[in-house]
Amino acid sequence: MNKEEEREDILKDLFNRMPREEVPADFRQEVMQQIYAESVRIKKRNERFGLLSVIAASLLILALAAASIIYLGLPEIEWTSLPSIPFYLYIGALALLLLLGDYKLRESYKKKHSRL
Amino acid sequence: MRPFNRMELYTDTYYIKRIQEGDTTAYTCILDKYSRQIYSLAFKVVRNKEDAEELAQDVFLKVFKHLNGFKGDSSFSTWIYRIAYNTVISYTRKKKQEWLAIDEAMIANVAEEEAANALGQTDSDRQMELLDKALAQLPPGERAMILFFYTEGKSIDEIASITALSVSNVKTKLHRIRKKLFVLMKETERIGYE
Repeated sequence: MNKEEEREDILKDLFNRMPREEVPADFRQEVMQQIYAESVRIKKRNERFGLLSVIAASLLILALAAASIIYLGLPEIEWTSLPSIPFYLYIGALALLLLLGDYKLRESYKKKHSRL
Repeated sequence: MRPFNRMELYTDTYYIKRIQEGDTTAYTCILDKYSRQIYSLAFKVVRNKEDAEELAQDVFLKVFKHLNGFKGDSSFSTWIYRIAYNTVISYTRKKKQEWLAIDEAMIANVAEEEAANALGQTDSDRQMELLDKALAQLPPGERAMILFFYTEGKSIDEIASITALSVSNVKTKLHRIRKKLFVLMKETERIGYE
């Protein structure tokens, strides 16, 4: 063993023998109390942020609607004959069918994963 | 909730995922795994039990707050040590403690072999005592670096990642810190005999 290695080994050995301090007995409990408090604070902040986002989005939609009514005027709807009613019914039925399929698939996914 | 898989039980990634999914209790596992290491590191750097406890608590709170920011670019262990290092160093800067400035020429001129040989002849308990005294005289950043290397067994790359220094800079610094430790230990030994 050369001098460099020998010298490093002295330090390595000394550091290895250096005792690691014990954590105070109530450390875990105190930290977890702070963590739970922080967790609640984050949840509340996220809820507030979500609520504010919904309010902001709603106000934006209302403002856009008001602006479009003011500048474009209300469209005139004519209730004349609607020859394409069967087509709309077909699209509506298809949408309901897809919604039902999505619901069933989600249900089976949840069941499968809750069993694991 | 998905039950524990034995293979996943001890991986940090698993616990992080659970915490991110809202299972705050899983944080106890992270705490149990790292609290002693972080507390011990803080204590060895600030050398005060109360301050070390407060700093360790601060580190774990910061880790929890920023857990969503952990992208897995480095290991979780390196990431947590980076937070600990920054917290402890920032605290010592605020404290504005003064550290022993060792003359560069003194480090350069010291005969390393002589210092090592002299230490080799000292009994091991005395060596431990000398190392403790020498460590106390190092600036906190240097103390943390040498502890990462020897006590925590971190590689040069990991230390570079923790301290945000380049790999070559870490190598140079570690070499100088080791040399400094030998000088300080030798000086303490010499003063002790005079």
